[in-house]
Amino acid sequence: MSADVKRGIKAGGGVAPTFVAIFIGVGIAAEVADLPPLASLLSTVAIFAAPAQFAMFDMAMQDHALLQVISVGVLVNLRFFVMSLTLANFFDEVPRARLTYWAQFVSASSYLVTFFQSRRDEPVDLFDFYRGVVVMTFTAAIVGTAIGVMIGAGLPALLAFGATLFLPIYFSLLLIGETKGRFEIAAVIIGLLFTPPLELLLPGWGLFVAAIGAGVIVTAAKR
Amino acid sequence: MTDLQWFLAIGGAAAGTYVLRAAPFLWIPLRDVGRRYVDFLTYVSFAIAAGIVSKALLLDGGRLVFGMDTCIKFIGLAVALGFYRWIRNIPLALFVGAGSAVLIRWLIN
Repeated sequence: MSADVKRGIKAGGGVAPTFVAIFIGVGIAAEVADLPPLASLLSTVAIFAAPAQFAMFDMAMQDHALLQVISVGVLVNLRFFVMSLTLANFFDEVPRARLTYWAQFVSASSYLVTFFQSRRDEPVDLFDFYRGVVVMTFTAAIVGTAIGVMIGAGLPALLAFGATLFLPIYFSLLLIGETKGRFEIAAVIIGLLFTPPLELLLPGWGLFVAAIGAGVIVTAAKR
Repeated sequence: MTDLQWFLAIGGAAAGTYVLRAAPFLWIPLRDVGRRYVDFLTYVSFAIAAGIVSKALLLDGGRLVFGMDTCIKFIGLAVALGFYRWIRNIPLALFVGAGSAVLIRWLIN
Protein backbone atom coordinates (compact mmCIF):
# COMPACT_ATOMS: atom_id res chain seq x y z
CA MET A 1 0.00 0.00 0.00
CA SER A 2 1.48 3.37 -1.02
CA ALA A 3 2.07 6.22 1.42
CA ASP A 4 -0.55 8.30 -0.40
CA VAL A 5 -3.22 5.62 -0.01
CA LYS A 6 -2.40 5.58 3.73
CA ARG A 7 -2.65 9.36 3.78
CA GLY A 8 -6.07 9.10 2.15
CA ILE A 9 -7.17 6.49 4.69
CA LYS A 10 -6.12 8.82 7.50
CA ALA A 11 -7.98 11.76 5.94
CA GLY A 12 -11.04 9.58 5.32
CA GLY A 13 -11.05 8.70 9.02
CA GLY A 14 -12.33 12.20 9.71
CA VAL A 15 -15.59 11.59 7.88
CA ALA A 16 -15.99 7.87 8.63
CA PRO A 17 -17.99 8.29 11.90
CA THR A 18 -20.55 10.45 10.12
CA PHE A 19 -20.73 7.91 7.30
CA VAL A 20 -21.43 5.16 9.81
CA ALA A 21 -24.16 7.29 11.42
CA ILE A 22 -25.80 8.26 8.13
CA PHE A 23 -25.80 4.68 6.85
CA ILE A 24 -27.16 3.38 10.14
CA GLY A 25 -30.08 5.64 9.19
CA VAL A 26 -30.18 4.02 5.74
CA GLY A 27 -30.27 0.55 7.33
CA ILE A 28 -33.09 1.60 9.64
CA ALA A 29 -35.05 3.20 6.77
CA ALA A 30 -34.59 0.04 4.72
CA GLU A 31 -36.01 -2.03 7.57
CA VAL A 32 -39.00 0.31 7.86
CA ALA A 33 -39.57 0.06 4.08
CA ASP A 34 -39.49 -3.73 4.45
CA LEU A 35 -36.48 -4.39 2.23
CA PRO A 36 -34.92 -7.84 2.48
CA PRO A 37 -31.67 -7.43 4.52
CA LEU A 38 -29.58 -8.51 1.54
CA ALA A 39 -31.23 -5.83 -0.62
CA SER A 40 -30.48 -3.19 2.06
CA LEU A 41 -26.78 -4.00 1.91
CA LEU A 42 -26.86 -4.30 -1.87
CA SER A 43 -28.43 -0.84 -2.14
CA THR A 44 -25.46 0.64 -0.26
CA VAL A 45 -22.89 -1.34 -2.28
CA ALA A 46 -24.49 -0.56 -5.64
CA ILE A 47 -25.89 2.96 -5.16
CA PHE A 48 -23.64 4.24 -2.32
CA ALA A 49 -25.60 7.48 -1.92
CA ALA A 50 -27.67 7.88 1.24
CA PRO A 51 -29.98 10.70 0.00
CA ALA A 52 -30.99 8.66 -3.05
CA GLN A 53 -31.52 5.54 -0.94
CA PHE A 54 -33.72 7.45 1.54
CA ALA A 55 -35.76 8.93 -1.34
CA MET A 56 -36.24 5.53 -2.98
CA PHE A 57 -37.33 3.84 0.26
CA ASP A 58 -39.76 6.66 0.96
CA MET A 59 -41.31 6.52 -2.52
CA ALA A 60 -41.61 2.76 -2.43
CA MET A 61 -43.56 2.98 0.83
CA GLN A 62 -46.00 5.33 -0.91
CA ASP A 63 -46.59 2.73 -3.61
CA HIS A 64 -45.02 4.63 -6.50
CA ALA A 65 -44.29 2.76 -9.74
CA LEU A 66 -40.95 1.00 -10.13
CA LEU A 67 -39.79 3.38 -12.87
CA GLN A 68 -40.55 6.42 -10.69
CA VAL A 69 -38.53 4.95 -7.82
CA ILE A 70 -35.58 4.34 -10.16
CA SER A 71 -35.85 7.83 -11.72
CA VAL A 72 -35.80 9.53 -8.32
CA GLY A 73 -32.80 7.42 -7.27
CA VAL A 74 -30.87 8.58 -10.33
CA LEU A 75 -31.99 12.23 -10.37
CA VAL A 76 -31.06 12.81 -6.72
CA ASN A 77 -27.55 11.71 -7.68
CA LEU A 78 -27.05 14.25 -10.48
CA ARG A 79 -24.52 16.03 -8.26
CA PHE A 80 -22.07 13.17 -8.78
CA PHE A 81 -21.68 14.26 -12.39
CA VAL A 82 -20.25 17.63 -11.33
CA MET A 83 -18.07 15.97 -8.68
CA SER A 84 -16.62 13.49 -11.17
CA LEU A 85 -16.07 16.32 -13.66
CA THR A 86 -13.87 18.02 -11.05
CA LEU A 87 -12.06 14.83 -10.04
CA ALA A 88 -11.38 13.95 -13.70
CA ASN A 89 -9.05 16.98 -13.81
CA PHE A 90 -6.89 15.38 -11.11
CA PHE A 91 -6.86 11.86 -12.60
CA ASP A 92 -5.63 12.73 -16.09
CA GLU A 93 -2.80 10.20 -16.05
CA VAL A 94 -4.82 7.30 -14.63
CA PRO A 95 -5.72 4.51 -17.12
CA ARG A 96 -9.42 4.45 -17.93
CA ALA A 97 -9.72 0.78 -16.96
CA ARG A 98 -8.83 1.68 -13.36
CA LEU A 99 -11.19 4.64 -13.35
CA THR A 100 -14.02 2.39 -14.55
CA TYR A 101 -13.88 0.60 -11.21
CA TRP A 102 -13.07 3.49 -8.85
CA ALA A 103 -15.73 5.81 -10.36
CA GLN A 104 -18.33 3.82 -8.43
CA PHE A 105 -17.10 5.31 -5.14
CA VAL A 106 -17.43 9.02 -5.89
CA SER A 107 -19.31 10.61 -3.01
CA ALA A 108 -19.43 14.15 -1.61
CA SER A 109 -16.79 13.20 0.96
CA SER A 110 -14.36 11.27 -1.25
CA TYR A 111 -14.57 14.12 -3.75
CA LEU A 112 -14.24 17.03 -1.30
CA VAL A 113 -11.44 15.51 0.79
CA THR A 114 -9.49 14.84 -2.44
CA PHE A 115 -10.32 18.31 -3.76
CA PHE A 116 -8.96 19.99 -0.62
CA GLN A 117 -5.85 17.80 -0.75
CA SER A 118 -5.26 18.97 -4.36
CA ARG A 119 -4.93 22.54 -3.11
CA ARG A 120 -2.05 21.77 -0.78
CA ASP A 121 1.56 22.10 -1.86
CA GLU A 122 2.49 18.56 -0.78
CA PRO A 123 3.42 16.28 -3.70
CA VAL A 124 0.72 13.61 -3.51
CA ASP A 125 -0.62 11.09 -6.03
CA LEU A 126 -4.23 12.25 -5.86
CA PHE A 127 -5.64 9.03 -7.29
CA ASP A 128 -3.94 6.97 -4.55
CA PHE A 129 -5.14 9.50 -2.00
CA TYR A 130 -8.72 9.26 -3.33
CA ARG A 131 -8.56 5.46 -3.13
CA GLY A 132 -7.49 5.74 0.52
CA VAL A 133 -10.43 8.02 1.31
CA VAL A 134 -12.76 5.58 -0.48
CA VAL A 135 -11.47 2.64 1.58
CA MET A 136 -12.63 4.45 4.72
CA THR A 137 -15.92 5.90 3.44
CA PHE A 138 -17.13 2.80 1.64
CA THR A 139 -16.26 0.52 4.56
CA ALA A 140 -17.99 2.91 6.94
CA ALA A 141 -21.10 2.90 4.72
CA ILE A 142 -21.30 -0.89 4.66
CA VAL A 143 -20.71 -1.18 8.41
CA GLY A 144 -23.32 1.53 9.10
CA THR A 145 -25.96 -0.13 6.90
CA ALA A 146 -25.35 -3.51 8.54
CA ILE A 147 -25.67 -1.98 12.03
CA GLY A 148 -28.84 -0.14 11.00
CA VAL A 149 -30.42 -3.32 9.66
CA MET A 150 -29.46 -5.22 12.82
CA ILE A 151 -30.48 -2.75 15.50
CA GLY A 152 -33.51 -1.16 13.81
CA ALA A 153 -34.35 2.05 15.66
CA GLY A 154 -32.45 1.09 18.82
CA LEU A 155 -29.35 3.31 18.44
CA PRO A 156 -28.72 5.47 21.56
CA ALA A 157 -29.70 9.08 20.71
CA LEU A 158 -26.52 10.56 22.22
CA LEU A 159 -24.31 8.35 20.06
CA ALA A 160 -26.28 9.20 16.93
CA PHE A 161 -26.07 12.93 17.77
CA GLY A 162 -22.30 12.82 18.24
CA ALA A 163 -21.62 10.80 15.10
CA THR A 164 -23.53 13.21 12.86
CA LEU A 165 -21.28 16.09 13.98
CA PHE A 166 -18.10 14.76 12.41
CA LEU A 167 -18.95 15.68 8.82
CA PRO A 168 -19.88 19.38 9.35
CA ILE A 169 -16.99 19.96 11.76
CA TYR A 170 -14.51 18.26 9.45
CA PHE A 171 -15.59 20.28 6.42
CA SER A 172 -15.55 23.49 8.49
CA LEU A 173 -11.95 22.78 9.47
CA LEU A 174 -11.01 22.10 5.85
CA LEU A 175 -12.74 25.29 4.69
CA ILE A 176 -11.02 27.40 7.35
CA GLY A 177 -7.63 26.06 6.28
CA GLU A 178 -8.09 26.06 2.51
CA THR A 179 -10.31 29.00 1.50
CA LYS A 180 -8.17 31.68 -0.10
CA GLY A 181 -9.10 34.96 -1.74
CA ARG A 182 -12.35 36.84 -1.96
CA PHE A 183 -13.91 34.73 -4.73
CA GLU A 184 -13.56 31.47 -2.81
CA ILE A 185 -14.82 33.19 0.34
CA ALA A 186 -17.84 34.43 -1.65
CA ALA A 187 -18.56 30.87 -2.85
CA VAL A 188 -18.38 29.61 0.74
CA ILE A 189 -20.72 32.34 2.00
CA ILE A 190 -23.27 31.64 -0.76
CA GLY A 191 -23.13 27.92 0.02
CA LEU A 192 -23.54 28.54 3.76
CA LEU A 193 -26.44 30.97 3.44
CA PHE A 194 -28.45 29.58 0.55
CA THR A 195 -28.26 25.82 1.01
CA PRO A 196 -30.69 25.52 3.99
CA PRO A 197 -33.50 27.66 2.47
CA LEU A 198 -33.09 26.05 -0.95
CA GLU A 199 -33.10 22.62 0.66
CA LEU A 200 -36.44 23.52 2.29
CA LEU A 201 -37.84 24.70 -1.05
CA LEU A 202 -36.41 21.83 -3.10
CA PRO A 203 -35.84 18.85 -0.79
CA GLY A 204 -32.85 16.82 -1.94
CA TRP A 205 -31.78 19.47 -4.48
CA GLY A 206 -30.94 22.53 -2.37
CA LEU A 207 -27.26 21.70 -1.90
CA PHE A 208 -26.76 21.10 -5.61
CA VAL A 209 -28.72 24.17 -6.76
CA ALA A 210 -26.98 26.48 -4.24
CA ALA A 211 -23.55 25.18 -5.28
CA ILE A 212 -24.22 25.56 -9.01
CA GLY A 213 -25.62 29.05 -8.32
CA ALA A 214 -22.52 29.97 -6.33
CA GLY A 215 -20.30 28.69 -9.15
CA VAL A 216 -22.18 30.71 -11.78
CA ILE A 217 -22.34 33.93 -9.73
CA VAL A 218 -18.72 33.90 -8.55
CA THR A 219 -17.32 32.90 -11.96
CA ALA A 220 -19.35 35.72 -13.59
CA ALA A 221 -18.16 38.20 -10.94
CA LYS A 222 -14.54 37.18 -11.51
CA ARG A 223 -14.82 37.78 -15.26
CA MET B 1 -42.81 -3.86 -3.42
CA THR B 2 -41.88 -7.47 -3.94
CA ASP B 3 -38.30 -8.66 -3.42
CA LEU B 4 -37.80 -8.86 -7.19
CA GLN B 5 -39.06 -5.29 -7.65
CA TRP B 6 -36.65 -4.11 -4.97
CA PHE B 7 -33.70 -5.73 -6.70
CA LEU B 8 -34.79 -4.21 -10.02
CA ALA B 9 -35.16 -0.75 -8.43
CA ILE B 10 -31.70 -0.98 -6.84
CA GLY B 11 -30.16 -2.26 -10.08
CA GLY B 12 -31.78 0.49 -12.16
CA ALA B 13 -30.80 3.31 -9.79
CA ALA B 14 -27.29 1.90 -9.43
CA ALA B 15 -26.79 1.75 -13.20
CA GLY B 16 -28.06 5.31 -13.72
CA THR B 17 -25.95 6.63 -10.86
CA TYR B 18 -22.86 4.84 -12.16
CA VAL B 19 -23.25 6.52 -15.55
CA LEU B 20 -23.32 9.93 -13.81
CA ARG B 21 -20.25 9.07 -11.79
CA ALA B 22 -18.20 7.45 -14.53
CA ALA B 23 -19.01 9.51 -17.65
CA PRO B 24 -16.63 12.40 -16.88
CA PHE B 25 -13.80 9.91 -16.22
CA LEU B 26 -14.34 7.78 -19.29
CA TRP B 27 -15.61 10.13 -21.99
CA ILE B 28 -12.73 12.33 -23.16
CA PRO B 29 -14.84 15.30 -24.45
CA LEU B 30 -16.32 15.65 -20.95
CA ARG B 31 -12.81 15.78 -19.47
CA ASP B 32 -12.11 18.74 -21.72
CA VAL B 33 -15.25 20.46 -20.43
CA GLY B 34 -13.95 19.93 -16.87
CA ARG B 35 -10.60 21.47 -17.81
CA ARG B 36 -12.23 24.48 -19.45
CA TYR B 37 -14.45 25.26 -16.46
CA VAL B 38 -11.98 24.57 -13.68
CA ASP B 39 -12.68 27.91 -11.92
CA PHE B 40 -16.42 27.26 -11.93
CA LEU B 41 -15.91 23.73 -10.57
CA THR B 42 -13.59 25.04 -7.85
CA TYR B 43 -16.24 27.48 -6.61
CA VAL B 44 -18.92 24.78 -6.81
CA SER B 45 -16.68 22.55 -4.65
CA PHE B 46 -16.30 25.23 -1.98
CA ALA B 47 -20.05 25.93 -2.01
CA ILE B 48 -20.87 22.22 -1.64
CA ALA B 49 -18.55 21.89 1.38
CA ALA B 50 -20.08 25.02 2.96
CA GLY B 51 -23.61 23.85 2.17
CA ILE B 52 -22.99 20.50 3.84
CA VAL B 53 -21.93 22.40 6.98
CA SER B 54 -24.94 24.72 7.16
CA LYS B 55 -27.36 21.93 6.21
CA ALA B 56 -26.04 19.68 8.98
CA LEU B 57 -26.19 22.47 11.54
CA LEU B 58 -29.58 23.96 10.73
CA LEU B 59 -31.72 21.22 9.19
CA ASP B 60 -33.02 18.05 10.77
CA GLY B 61 -35.19 15.61 8.85
CA GLY B 62 -35.86 18.24 6.17
CA ARG B 63 -37.02 20.88 8.68
CA LEU B 64 -35.33 24.05 9.89
CA VAL B 65 -34.50 23.70 13.61
CA PHE B 66 -33.31 26.30 16.12
CA GLY B 67 -33.40 24.31 19.35
CA MET B 68 -30.98 23.37 22.07
CA ASP B 69 -29.33 20.78 19.81
CA THR B 70 -28.55 23.50 17.25
CA CYS B 71 -26.87 25.62 19.96
CA ILE B 72 -24.85 22.60 21.11
CA LYS B 73 -23.77 21.88 17.52
CA PHE B 74 -22.56 25.48 17.13
CA ILE B 75 -20.67 25.24 20.44
CA GLY B 76 -19.02 22.00 19.28
CA LEU B 77 -18.06 23.67 16.01
CA ALA B 78 -16.68 26.76 17.80
CA VAL B 79 -14.65 24.56 20.15
CA ALA B 80 -13.23 22.61 17.20
CA LEU B 81 -12.31 25.78 15.28
CA GLY B 82 -10.74 27.37 18.38
CA PHE B 83 -8.79 24.21 19.12
CA TYR B 84 -7.63 23.99 15.50
CA ARG B 85 -6.39 27.60 15.64
CA TRP B 86 -4.37 26.65 18.68
CA ILE B 87 -2.90 23.26 17.74
CA ARG B 88 -3.32 23.12 13.89
CA ASN B 89 -4.26 19.44 14.03
CA ILE B 90 -7.50 18.55 12.21
CA PRO B 91 -8.19 15.05 13.66
CA LEU B 92 -7.62 16.23 17.22
CA ALA B 93 -9.73 19.37 16.75
CA LEU B 94 -12.45 17.23 15.19
CA PHE B 95 -12.64 14.86 18.14
CA VAL B 96 -12.41 17.64 20.73
CA GLY B 97 -15.23 19.58 19.00
CA ALA B 98 -17.58 16.61 18.55
CA GLY B 99 -16.68 15.28 22.00
CA SER B 100 -17.44 18.59 23.72
CA ALA B 101 -20.86 18.75 22.00
CA VAL B 102 -21.69 15.20 23.12
CA LEU B 103 -20.54 16.00 26.67
CA ILE B 104 -22.71 19.14 26.84
CA ARG B 105 -25.75 17.27 25.53
CA TRP B 106 -25.19 14.48 28.03
CA LEU B 107 -24.87 16.97 30.92
CA ILE B 108 -28.02 18.87 29.88
CA ASN B 109 -30.12 15.74 29.49
